[in-house]
Amino acid sequence: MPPHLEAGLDARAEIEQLIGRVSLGDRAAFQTLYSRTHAKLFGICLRILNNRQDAEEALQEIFVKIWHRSNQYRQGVASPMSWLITLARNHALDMVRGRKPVNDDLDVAQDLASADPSPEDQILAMDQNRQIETCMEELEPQRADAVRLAYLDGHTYQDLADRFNVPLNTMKTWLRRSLGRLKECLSQ
Amino acid sequence: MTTDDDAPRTDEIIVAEYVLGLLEEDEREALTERLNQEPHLRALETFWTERLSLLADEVPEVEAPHLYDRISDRLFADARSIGWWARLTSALGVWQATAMSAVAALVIVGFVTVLFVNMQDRTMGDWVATLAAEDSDVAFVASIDLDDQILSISGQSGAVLTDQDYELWIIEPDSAPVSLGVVPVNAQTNLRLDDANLAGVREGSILAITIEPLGGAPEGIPTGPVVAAGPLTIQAS
Repeated sequence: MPPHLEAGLDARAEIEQLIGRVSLGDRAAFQTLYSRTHAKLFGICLRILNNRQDAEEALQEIFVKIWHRSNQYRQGVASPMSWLITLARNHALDMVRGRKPVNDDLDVAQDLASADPSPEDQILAMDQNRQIETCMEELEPQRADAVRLAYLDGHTYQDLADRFNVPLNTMKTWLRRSLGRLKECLSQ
Repeated sequence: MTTDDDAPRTDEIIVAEYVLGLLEEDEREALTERLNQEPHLRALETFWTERLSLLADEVPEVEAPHLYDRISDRLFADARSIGWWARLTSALGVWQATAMSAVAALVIVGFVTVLFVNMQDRTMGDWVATLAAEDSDVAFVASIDLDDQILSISGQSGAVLTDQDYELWIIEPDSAPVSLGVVPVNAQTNLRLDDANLAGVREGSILAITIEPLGGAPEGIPTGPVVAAGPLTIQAS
């Protein structure tokens, strides 16, 4: 296995183990999990909330959620960073939009599969990284930017329409077509 | 761009919009309903969640180490009292918790003076406790000999642990648990109690067993689940 993949798997396994220990009430593991992952999650909060004070509040609430929900993480279904990022992102979106949280704990989705991933699956998971980069590059640059703005900055359709100066329905059509092409490319 | 309007809005795309957070509130609620019913939608949700989260690779990390203490305070500041009691109450079951309160109330009303005097005289019988919990097959029995200041505890059932330890705690009502050390489940252990330990022992005090890392909870605060607990009662001599 190439060294960078091996290193990635080690990091993934470590985060998985930490989440597992946290679910048993291990506070030392919780502190280590914080030190390993908070900087990424804080970056995500800052990007969506655009305000340091709000992001600090969000990060605290996110780690309180992680402590209480760590038993809902299912190894081998979601990657541990994806689980943490999704939890953080959904929390920040709930805050910025004043919406009430629904179904953001992923436990339902993760009940679907239970088997541990094979090493091949794990390498596949690592390869997904470059795959989404490749697929994003195949979109027209503005449309790829729109997908990024929606995911990373929490833009709504209206925000995107304003930003690209197009009618709302046009923006929706653009983005839906881009998502269709992304799905096709990612499923290859 | 109106020619683009004929693009079909398939489930694949609606779920992607859901994961991105682009759906209107009513659409979002409707899809949440469908996600609970339809496994193929949940698979799509996982697909998009996993793939799109990789976009976060480009988000710069921002260190905020000082926030950990605040999080820790939020989660654990109360753990030495309220959180602990909540866990105990749940371990013991509501019925036992209610019975315990009743016993405690009775003691306060009628017997507190007598108890105090007799504690001083140390002529009373031993204190005993049966430690058990719902959803756990771990059980211990314990007794305290006041004259010799010895607590004897022996396991009645429960798996022998290899990479963890059972730890014994004594808890006075509304106080932090105090560790009495790790105890094996397959042998009797005699522990000498110091005066400080003994001073707090009264009707309503609880002995509890948690599962902890080898050697016991590192910071002297229980971290693992309560697998057995029970109130101390007086056994007349």
